[in-house]
This record gives sequence, structure tokens and C-alpha cells, in this order.
Amino acid sequence: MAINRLSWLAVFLSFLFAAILELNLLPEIVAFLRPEWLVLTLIYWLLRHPEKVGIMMGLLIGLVMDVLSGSYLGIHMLSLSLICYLVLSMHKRLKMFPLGQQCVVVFFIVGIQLMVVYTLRSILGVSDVGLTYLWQALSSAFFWPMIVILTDRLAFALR
Amino acid sequence: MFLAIVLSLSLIIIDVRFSQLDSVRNVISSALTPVQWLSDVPSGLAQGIENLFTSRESLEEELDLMKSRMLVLERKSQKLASVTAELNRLRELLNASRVVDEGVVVAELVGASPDPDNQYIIINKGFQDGVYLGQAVLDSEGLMGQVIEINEISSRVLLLSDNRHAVPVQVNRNGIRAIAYGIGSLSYLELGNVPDTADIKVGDLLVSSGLGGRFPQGYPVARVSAVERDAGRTFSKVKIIPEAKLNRSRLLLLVFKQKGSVKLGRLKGEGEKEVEAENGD
Repeated sequence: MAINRLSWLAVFLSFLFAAILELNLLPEIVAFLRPEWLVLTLIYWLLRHPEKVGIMMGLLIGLVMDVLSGSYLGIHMLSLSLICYLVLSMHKRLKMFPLGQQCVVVFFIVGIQLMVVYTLRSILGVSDVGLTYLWQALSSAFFWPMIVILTDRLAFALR
Repeated sequence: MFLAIVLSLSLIIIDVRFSQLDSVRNVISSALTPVQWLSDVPSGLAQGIENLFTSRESLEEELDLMKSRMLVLERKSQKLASVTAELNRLRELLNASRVVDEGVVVAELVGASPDPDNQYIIINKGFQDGVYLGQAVLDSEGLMGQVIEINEISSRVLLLSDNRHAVPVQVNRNGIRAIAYGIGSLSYLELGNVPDTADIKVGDLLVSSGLGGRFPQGYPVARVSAVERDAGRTFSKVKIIPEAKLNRSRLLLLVFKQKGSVKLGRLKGEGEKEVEAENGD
């Protein structure tokens, strides 16, 4: 997979689609289950092309997430660069895992990312949610296979 | 990696403490407006399809209803002019300042927050329309919130129900002052600083008191739904239901303070700095 050419158009489109999904409104009852689409897409590209997609991409997507959610600039940048580092340091092993095991790892990675974001928000007095963000990590892990399959198709079509 | 962490941390500190990064945020936010717009397309599409299937008969019925409603409201506003004049004459007798009326601009909701801990909406009026920071936003029923971020053609409005939001209010019936706090729920707010012995009961209407300089005076905010009095505590726990349809209104009003008022000098341009300077006094 690493010998395929990276299409930046596919990267851009996948992130655009993820951003639209992220802004989409869920009914109030299930709003606690919204997956972190942008983070999932970032992890996907980190695994597929670790040599071209790196911490810079994490910072950029973090900036986009900060602006979209209206939070202080830097919160998502920090959390995403952290998980970029984590994913890149174990990407060789992670690529070899079956999809199910990848889901478990994605759960932990997204969990860490959300933990950093919500902890910073609590410190800065924005909101205090306890551990409810773990539901978000769970649903993100649930949608990981879908992201992999769909973005694979997009990348293949635009290679 | 270390560089990334340092950069992010310094950005957070700068953004929290100073407002230098606001222009950066504005540029990026303006660039991301198409994304905001695209995410609203599904609901806009659904509404468009619904409109396609509406019968002419029901449209005519709705039109008749609107016309009669407008007639009733016009009668009320006919009296408003003479009542305001009489009020100003009485105030002059007491050597009090005149009541200034506010101008309004209609805006439309183009996006809402997917995050229940951070309740905001995006409207389609921005810098170019003279929107300023802290501007009050209403719907047809009452107060909705205030503008917290302005882009070129859109703005972000923090709703009353957000955790961080508070409005100074007074009971319409007897003028008792309190503060309406958002608790993160779209259906309830909490009234704080109400003494245990205060005369407040279920069904009371709360209007904005105008104290604090942000929200203009007299707009409905909420209605009292439950009062919990405990002899052991100094303050009662009052639950209130917001008048405005916080999660459903599409057409909104932006309230502009007139030039004659104390708080705002100019509407365009350095609106942000003006408000900051005013608040710093």
C-alpha cells in the first residue's frame, strides 16, 4: 500500500467530507455519541502514508477543528499532534493488525485525544463533562472500518 | 514533536490571555464558511422538498393567517408610538433620560452546534452588516443569546442555555432582579441569586433588566416553572423555561443599540475595541 502515489486531492476531499459530517447535527438524545470524524480520517492517512502525512497535518487539522468549534486556538492542535506522534511511532505494527484489533487501538487513541481536549477545556473553565467523552471514543472506534473502506475507495479512484 | 507541543501550548496561552489571534481566527473561519454551508445542505434540502409538496390551499391558508396576525400586531404598534411619547414626557418630569428605541436586522440561522457542551448557532450576518461583539439576538418569542465571534458574512451566537452564559433579568410583575444562568440544557435555565423570601412564583415572566450593559432592557427571557424554597438555605432554587425556541427558530433578529445610547459609539469597524474599552471603564 505504501508504494501507491498519494493523491492530495483525495486527502482534501476526505477531510472535507469528515468536516461536513462533524458539523452535522445529531438529535439531542444521541448527541453524546458523535464520532470524531476528522480524527479518524487523520489516523487513516497517517497509517497509509506515514512518510508524507505527519505532525504538520495534525497541527493543520487541529487548527481547523479549533476554528470550527469556536474553542481557543491550540487545544485541538495540541491533542492531534500528540496522537499523530503516537500513531506514527507504532504505525508499522498497527498496519499489520486485523481490522477488529485496529478498532480497539483507535478507541484508545481517540480516547486520549478527547481526554486532552476535555481536560484543557475544564482547566480553562469552558465545560466539565467527566468521563462521558468515552462514548464518543467508542462510536469513533465503531465507525473506523467504514472510514477505512470509504477512504480506500476514494484514494484508489483518485490515485 | 516537541516543537508542535510548544507551538500549541503557546497558541492556547496567547488566545486565552490576549486577543491578537482573533484576526487569524477570522481569516480561517471565513475560509471555512463553505464547509459550514455544506453541512447545512441536508436540512435545507429536506425543507426544500417539503416545500415542493405543500399544496396551494395550505399556503393560502397560511397567508391568511399571517395577514390577520399582522393586522393585530399593527394595531399594537399604533399605540406604541403614543405610549412611548407619553413615557418620555413622564420621564422628563422626573429628570430621567429618554427611552431610546433599538433598530433590528433580520438574520437567518445557517448552522448550529453539534456539541451539547458548547451551545452556539451560526447566523448569516457578519462584519459587513454591522454586527458587533456582544450584540443581542432575539427570535419572535424572546432573547436567544449574544454574538461572540464575527466573520465577514456570518457570526457565531452563544445561546442563553450554554454553561458559560448569564443574563441579568427582572420579574416583569414586581421588578425583582436576578440572573438567569445557562446550565447546558436547551429546555431549562436556572435563576440565581433569588433570596428565599422573594416574591416569585410559577408562571412569572422574566424580562431582561438591561443591567450589565449587554442586553437591551425589556425583552422576554424566560418563564418560571418551579420554585424550590428551603428554609435552611439563603437562596431558593428556581427553574425557568426560556421563551425563545432556542433549538428551532430559523428567523432571528439582531438588535442594534442607537447612537444616542451610552455603551456603543460606532457600529462598524472597531466594534470589538469599543466594547472592550467601554467594559474596561
